[in-house]
This record gives sequence, structure tokens and C-alpha cells, in this order.
Amino acid sequence: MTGAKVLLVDDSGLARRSTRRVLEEAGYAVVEAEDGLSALEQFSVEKPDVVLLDLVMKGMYGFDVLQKLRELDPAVRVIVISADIQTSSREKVLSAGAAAFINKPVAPGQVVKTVAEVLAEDSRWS
Amino acid sequence: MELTPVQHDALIELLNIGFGRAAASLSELTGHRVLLEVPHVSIHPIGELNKALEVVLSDEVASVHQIFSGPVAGDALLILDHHAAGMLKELLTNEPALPRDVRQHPARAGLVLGPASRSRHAAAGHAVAARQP
Repeated sequence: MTGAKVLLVDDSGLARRSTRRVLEEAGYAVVEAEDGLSALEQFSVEKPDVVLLDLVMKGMYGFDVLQKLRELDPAVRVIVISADIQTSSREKVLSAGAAAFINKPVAPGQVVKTVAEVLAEDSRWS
Repeated sequence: MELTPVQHDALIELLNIGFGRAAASLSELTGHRVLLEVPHVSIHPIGELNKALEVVLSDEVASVHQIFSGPVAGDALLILDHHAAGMLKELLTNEPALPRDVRQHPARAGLVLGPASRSRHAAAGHAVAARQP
């Protein structure tokens, strides 16, 4: 599954850098966005295979970004990574079409494993 | 004390994770969803904390002071404004908290972290939360 492109959306530069490193080491191509609007722009331009999306961000909230992404592409694969670990938040994003939910802080292996699992559901990468 | 952008980012992310866990616990206790915002973090000399906190907290407050010892030692001070304290009391006890109508105002909470008794600086973070059924 290496070579797949991942759009990483997080307002924390620290989180983006650390997640980018483990994804690139696993062979993925990574593009970044630091807020919701940039994420929507990058999604249209870069056409990533999977999106890693933070929920609690300045400006557009992650849940709104998820809904916009689904409007742009109903088949989009979005993995939500968030410090908002309330059960209701998890249920809300999964029912809105997210493919998976990962709690922060994230174990490096968990991100790579979840991305691989989500991509495996796509026939192009399985 | 000046933080580098990376240190500042790390502190925000750390508080973000802490607030997320606190929100999950509060949500479980109250049955309400807690809306989170990105925490604001700043560093202040201890002597200037009052002035810094006035920006986010004024009037009466309720506070919880926790002293930590061991490898990571210091003081944590959780400060709730009148509305936040009343709202929290209402949610936890299902009883009216205070004469004022706390539901008409956003709740504000401040968190002060740092080895306050041994250092000249402390980190102050605050977030705004609102309840949602």
C-alpha cells in the first residue's frame, strides 16, 4: 500500500510533523493542511487516498470539515484523530461517515496500521 | 521566560489532550456533550498572574488547588468563574446552583500549571466550553 497519498489535517505543527514522519517512514506520500479551509483546498488539488483529520481546530471545526469533504466526495476515506475522546464525539463522526477514529495521544504504529486497514478496503490498494 | 514556537505548540497539544480527557469525564458524569475549543496558552511571572487571569476571569470565582510532588512536582490551580461553577454544580447535582441564571452565559475556566512555589513562572491555559444535550 506504499505510495498512497495521505492528507494530514491538524492545526498543531507538532502533531503534523510527528505523524508525517511515521507515515513517510512507512512509505506513504503526505500532504499537510493546518486548518479546515486549507484542507478542503488541498483535498481538491491533491486528491489524496485517505484523510487524517483533527477535530478540535481553530476556525472550521473538524466535524464541519468532514461534512464538506463528504459533500465533495461521498466515497472519501477519513480517519479522525482527536483529543476529544467523548463517546458522543466518536459516534457523531462515525455516523457522519468517518472510516475510523483514533484517540490522541497517538501511538505511531496505530496510525500506520489504521491507514493500512482503511486503504485495504479500497480495491486499488488491497 | 520565552517559549519557542515548538515548545508553545507542544504545550497547547498537551493541554488539548488534558482538556479532552477532562471533557470525556465530565460528559460521562453529567450525560451532556462538552464542546471543546483549542486552548490558549501563555507563560507569566507568578507576580503577574492576577493581572493575566483578569482577562478571562473576573468577579467571583471558585477554585481547586492541587499540589503535586514526585518526579513531576508543582501546583495546579483550576479556576471557574461564577457561571461555570454554577453550571457545573447544576449538572452534577441536578439542583439549581445559584440565584443568577447561569445558562445565559458561556462558561469560562482557567487552568494554571507550574511549580508555583519554586519557580518564578507558571503556564496559564484556558478554554471555553459549553454544554450540549
